[in-house]
Amino acid sequence: MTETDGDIVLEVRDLSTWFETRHETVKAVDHVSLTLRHGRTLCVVGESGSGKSVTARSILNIVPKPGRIVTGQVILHNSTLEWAGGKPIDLAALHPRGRRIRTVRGREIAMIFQEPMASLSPVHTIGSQIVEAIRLHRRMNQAEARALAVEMLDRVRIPRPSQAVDSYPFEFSGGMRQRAMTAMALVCEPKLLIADEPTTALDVTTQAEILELMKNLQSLYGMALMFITHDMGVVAEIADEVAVMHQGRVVEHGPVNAIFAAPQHPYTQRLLNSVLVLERRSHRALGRSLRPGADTILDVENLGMRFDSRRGLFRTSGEGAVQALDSVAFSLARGESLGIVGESGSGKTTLGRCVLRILEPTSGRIRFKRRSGEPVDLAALPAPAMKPYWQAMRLIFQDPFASLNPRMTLLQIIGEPLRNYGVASGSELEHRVATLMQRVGLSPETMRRYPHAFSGGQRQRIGIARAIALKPELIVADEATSALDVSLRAQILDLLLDLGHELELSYIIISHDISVIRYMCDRVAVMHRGRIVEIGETGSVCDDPQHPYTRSLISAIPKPDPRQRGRTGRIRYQPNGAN
Amino acid sequence: MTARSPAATGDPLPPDTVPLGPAGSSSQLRLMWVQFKRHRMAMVSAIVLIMIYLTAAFCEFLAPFSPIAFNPRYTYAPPQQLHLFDRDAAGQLVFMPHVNGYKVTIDPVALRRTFIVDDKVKHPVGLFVASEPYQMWGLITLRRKLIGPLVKGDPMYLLGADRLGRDMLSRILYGTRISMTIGLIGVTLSLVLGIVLGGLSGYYGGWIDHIIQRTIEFVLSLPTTPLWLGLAAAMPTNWPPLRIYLCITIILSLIGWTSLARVVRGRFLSLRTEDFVTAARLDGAGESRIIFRHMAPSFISHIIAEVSLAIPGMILAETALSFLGLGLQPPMVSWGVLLQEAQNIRAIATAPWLFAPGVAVVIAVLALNFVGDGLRDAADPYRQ
Repeated sequence: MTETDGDIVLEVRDLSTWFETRHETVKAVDHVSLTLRHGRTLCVVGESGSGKSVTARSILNIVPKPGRIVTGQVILHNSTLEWAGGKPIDLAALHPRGRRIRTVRGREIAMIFQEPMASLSPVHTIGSQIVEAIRLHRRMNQAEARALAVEMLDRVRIPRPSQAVDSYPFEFSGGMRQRAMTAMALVCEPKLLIADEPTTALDVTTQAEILELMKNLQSLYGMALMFITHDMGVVAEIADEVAVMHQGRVVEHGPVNAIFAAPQHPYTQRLLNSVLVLERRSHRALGRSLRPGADTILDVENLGMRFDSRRGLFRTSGEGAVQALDSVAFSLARGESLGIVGESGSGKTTLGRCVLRILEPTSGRIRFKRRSGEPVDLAALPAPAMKPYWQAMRLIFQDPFASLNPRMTLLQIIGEPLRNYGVASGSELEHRVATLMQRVGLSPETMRRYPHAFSGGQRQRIGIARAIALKPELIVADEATSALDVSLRAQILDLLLDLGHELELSYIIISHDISVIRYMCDRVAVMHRGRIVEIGETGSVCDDPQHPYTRSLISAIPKPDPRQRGRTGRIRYQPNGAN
Repeated sequence: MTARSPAATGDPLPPDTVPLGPAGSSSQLRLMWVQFKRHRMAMVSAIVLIMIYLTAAFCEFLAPFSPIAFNPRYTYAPPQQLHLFDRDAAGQLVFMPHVNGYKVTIDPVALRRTFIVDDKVKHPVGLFVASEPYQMWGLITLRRKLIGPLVKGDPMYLLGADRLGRDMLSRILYGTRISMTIGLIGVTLSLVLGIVLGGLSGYYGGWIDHIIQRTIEFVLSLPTTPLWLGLAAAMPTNWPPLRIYLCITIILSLIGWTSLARVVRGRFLSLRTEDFVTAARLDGAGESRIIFRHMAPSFISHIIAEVSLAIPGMILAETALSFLGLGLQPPMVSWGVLLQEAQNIRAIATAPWLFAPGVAVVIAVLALNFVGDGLRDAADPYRQ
């Protein structure tokens, strides 16, 4: 083990990082060993709480309190630092706030974080922040450093780098910020770049660009790359080797093809399976056919929504208005599920909220037909008249933490609609809530507990129980699974599909994740800048997209199959008159 | 609110059910209490505060003397030490609480009186001693005090005496009642104003918000000290002390409500956009149910914390006004009134114990601040 070939940049040996509080010890990293090689990419993959970020931070010895490296070594080979004298350095043994470790950070090992805005200072220009990073580690004067900064911005393909160097982070988009962060990380030509979920906060098309950039830069500089992600698609796209982490341990470690083709550990198998399941249409959805002659439950015409800039006493109006929805039209048959897909800011959430009249649309018609009754234009109703319709159309929220009142028990939360609409009360209410909880897979004994005792997946089940309590006809699910780990997604979607059969529900599934939509929707509408650019059968839109934007979106999605890497070309969408 | 723990039955659990910890069924109050207990300073301060308010409630019984009983013989008498043991005739240590008497000498040149502790003279002191009849809370006539000299008329000045030979300890204990309650009453008034106006402002927004916010900005722009001085000076001096006391609290809370209103408005604004409030609307909850059942529990704890931080401000304001002679007037006894005695140089030079009420103010204000801090940390046990 101690014999090293020249390729090895960093070795993590038997590393354990524990978080010790008065009551318990959390073993965030538990006897982890990793090897990072020159010019190779190691993907550390795992679900939330598996210890992958803490591993990265332990390497740089920046573990947040009360965390502590308990055992193990982090050996940096072939450093060019003078004080090390060419010998391997054990980073874990250095003082976390000492001078020596500081010379390693940024110079030998650089790190990129998930949220680029939080790691860039908002009050300094991009250029001055890069120049500072350069001058901390290299002997250069101001002018040379600035020239290098411009060159780096050019390398990470930021347009017009000589002007961009003087812009502030808020003038950059999310993808541009992540590029700038990458430029800053690479100025000192580190031997190892640690990227902690660098693309998670980005849209898929931007993610594809950043991944491509990372690959190009790696072949240019030859550094080792440690890439932390929870997304198996990204792993398939970029990894040479994969380490699968679960509850602080590396459960499986190997070359990417071997991991994807023949996973050994049951956890890896489960993880991969839950990703692959979402690669095709659910058998539950396949078996479900629309009743012939089903009526139209929802018919949306020419829906428009404009967010005016806030008008105040001393403010002039008219500027900064945003057209969030622009003549959106679709119809939904009873029992059908329609997917709405789009990137952030495309107006998909606004559409869902306008249909439910949580937001007031500025124009258009929303015709909603209850099972017994005539179609009613919801957009024309006065706000108080909406209450009876909210009984028939319900919303499932994205955030399973924010959407449940922390001060109420499950009985109160799930019983709230039943109580308010006068459906049940007293022991009858309790009985109904128990039935609902059982239906969504929660144990009814827990009905007097508060939501904070439940995990994310369980909370989303609570939200579903609340949504179906009134036997609705239409459910709008706004990113209902995007806050959940991938292994839970299929479970929740299956639950929704089963409930759809049982209660003859129609769904509007809003998601940025096309696999969720492919899994359960009959039709899909693709949104871009407030408009529906394409709408059609899910299969035909996913496999044979017509609109150029849809094509670029589909081509940007990483496939969880390393053998397909590089086979599908990226298509870039350049709408007229836009950047 | 019964903490019924679910009995384990044979029902099959769904695949991703994790066993719930004991925290799962605890209510908000329980979680807050656990969190509050972790804040050491707040716990100690809470005990101190309880003692202070008990003193305020039972000051007649605790104080050895009446606050207006004076004795010209003991003008500016220094504090005496309370001895618990004494030697009897055989030289054995026996339990006999006592204080030593004073020997008074008069400097022939300066005509200054100096007190020297006289070891020979011992005035025995006891618990539950008989006293002049006095009225507890103005209702019950009592004839016993917690502590006092066994022989009527013996001097006992544990914290010294003032200009008229009145017992400082008794006066501070009596002052506790006025000073500590003025904060409570004033804050209650500001709280009512603050919650109503801040709530309207935050929940409805729009022009209501505009008007209330501009009013708050106007009130905050008024220079407070001259305003207090003006209002206090406008009160007729021949009013009974109780009415002056009430007016002072009203004046203090007229300024104090603004910050509370802003806190309440901010809470409403941030909660209004929370997903669970939208969910409550979709669940068909009416306006008042949304406010009182869904939103209020999430900010009531913050408001309690905010209130406990506002009381010290009131206490300090009363002290400052009274110190300047514009607040409460003698014969009412508050810490601020007592500090008036410490205004001149002579007091500082010869009778530093006249500052004792200031020490009481500092202890009370610090205790309230720590408790407020602890409450604020505990207010949101779910955000941990």
